[in-house]
Amino acid sequence: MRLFLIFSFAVIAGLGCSDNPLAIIDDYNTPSDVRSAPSNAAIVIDFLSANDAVDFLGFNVYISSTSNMTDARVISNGASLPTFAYLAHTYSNIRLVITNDASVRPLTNGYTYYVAVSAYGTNNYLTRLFQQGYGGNQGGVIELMPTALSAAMPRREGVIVFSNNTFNASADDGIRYTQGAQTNCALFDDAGANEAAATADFYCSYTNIPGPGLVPYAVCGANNPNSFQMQSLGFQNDFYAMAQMPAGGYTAAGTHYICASNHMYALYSPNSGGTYVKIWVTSITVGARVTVTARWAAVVGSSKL
Amino acid sequence: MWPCLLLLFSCGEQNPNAIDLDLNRPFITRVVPGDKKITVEFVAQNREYGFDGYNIYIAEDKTRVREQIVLSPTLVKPTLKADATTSVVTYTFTIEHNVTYYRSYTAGTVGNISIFNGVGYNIWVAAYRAQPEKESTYDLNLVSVVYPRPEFLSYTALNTTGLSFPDAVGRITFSNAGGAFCVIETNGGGVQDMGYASSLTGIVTAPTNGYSSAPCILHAGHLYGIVTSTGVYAKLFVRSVSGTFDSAVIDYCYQPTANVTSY
Repeated sequence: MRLFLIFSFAVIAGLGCSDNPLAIIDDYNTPSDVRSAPSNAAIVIDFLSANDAVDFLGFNVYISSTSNMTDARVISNGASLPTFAYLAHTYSNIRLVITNDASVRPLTNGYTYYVAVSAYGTNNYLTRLFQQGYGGNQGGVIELMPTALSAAMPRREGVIVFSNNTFNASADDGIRYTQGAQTNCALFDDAGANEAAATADFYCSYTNIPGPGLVPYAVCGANNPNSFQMQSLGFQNDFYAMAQMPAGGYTAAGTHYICASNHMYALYSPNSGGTYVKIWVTSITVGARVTVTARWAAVVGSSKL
Repeated sequence: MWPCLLLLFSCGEQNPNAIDLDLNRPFITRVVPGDKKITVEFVAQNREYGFDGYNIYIAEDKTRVREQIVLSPTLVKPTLKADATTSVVTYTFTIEHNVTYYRSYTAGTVGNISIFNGVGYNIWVAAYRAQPEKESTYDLNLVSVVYPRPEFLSYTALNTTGLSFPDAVGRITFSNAGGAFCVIETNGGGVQDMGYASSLTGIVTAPTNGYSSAPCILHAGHLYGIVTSTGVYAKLFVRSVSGTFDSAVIDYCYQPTANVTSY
């Protein structure tokens, strides 16, 4: 028997003189390390991929409202698959953003969705085998159904800019969380109250420290009405890379943390069965006034945001 | 470009198992440096005919990573036996100084591996089939580098003391000013609170930004990042802080090689 050694194929087919045709499907490299992060009526999915196969076409994203994927649907790209065409064969970190589309895949804030990603391609030879009754795949599809699920609950998010002029022991402006029909954070004007009476859920303050000088701190208001506690998560490159808020480590309201650009902060309150707010300071400028720009996201009943 | 399909014409017995499939490639997701040891975490899905497990390669020179393989405790390949699976599985393997065995293909030697702190090691993981021998395709992008570092566990830090990383150039000082146990980098570097973690290895890549020269309050269960003025990265994990704020029990480590963020 002659045997050809080949590389980088998804399907290998053989025809023998007296044999039936046979096809061996070589699985595509399954998308690995699939991570999801909620966004506003959207879900951000990150994963690793490297597919050599020449008939590999891209990725299918499945979405379900149940953890056992009972109502799983593949998200189609118009009328065709895969969900996301991706023909590169190199090792890649891939980020896909699944957005709300009311008619075909509503993504409603406050609801949990389960997502999975598969590698997908087609090969006409499998269609032919199917038509000839040799057991090929209908439609010639090559796809190993994904088993790794990632859950995410979309929620509101936004950007707040707050600015203070007398920053010494003062909480002029800050951020206040409210829970209405949806979670929300908004600019909170404390109208001159001092830090001891701070009722903002998040604000910045200065302390004059011998050596470093004026140091800006991020603080969860000592008397915030939402019973929030806080912790710093340090420098972060990306609002979505850090989606899972810690289960513990929150410190009493009023505790000072260094406030610096790209630092992320997690707020937790036991209210409503667990309320989490994440705040990512994208810029802080210090001058006559101190101006902080922060992205926020808030969620009830989940520590993933 | 390869054709999508290869037709095999043969007369006689056709053995589909003899057809040579590419093995799916494992992905390294995290490499955890330890004190003269390295823990490799990777994910993979393989069910090709004859699939046997995974081979882990290690080398200081990235371009020669395939020349030295980590051997299983019985000194055979693969490094890690694994079963065929249709789902993605996470695997962990620890390479330890003077414990783990290796084989050098260039030197033709087998022996206990040497892992030194402060030295960069490149790691590559390949899926492996024994008969006939074959590995998944090598790709430089799939190689991860890691720098082992010394660590000190359950160290009691007093509010009157400090630590140096690795010498007096980088130093941190503990204090209990203002009713809290604080740490400050006192020689041109900085500290940052990286939040709640389960252990010292909760974060293994140092942030290159975000450090402050101001005192940082230590909270139990939090991980702290430190950088010195010479670019040495260190971290400390707080196990507990005394109720009177005069001592704390910490785990800490530093990367001896400056400007290397693996720790």
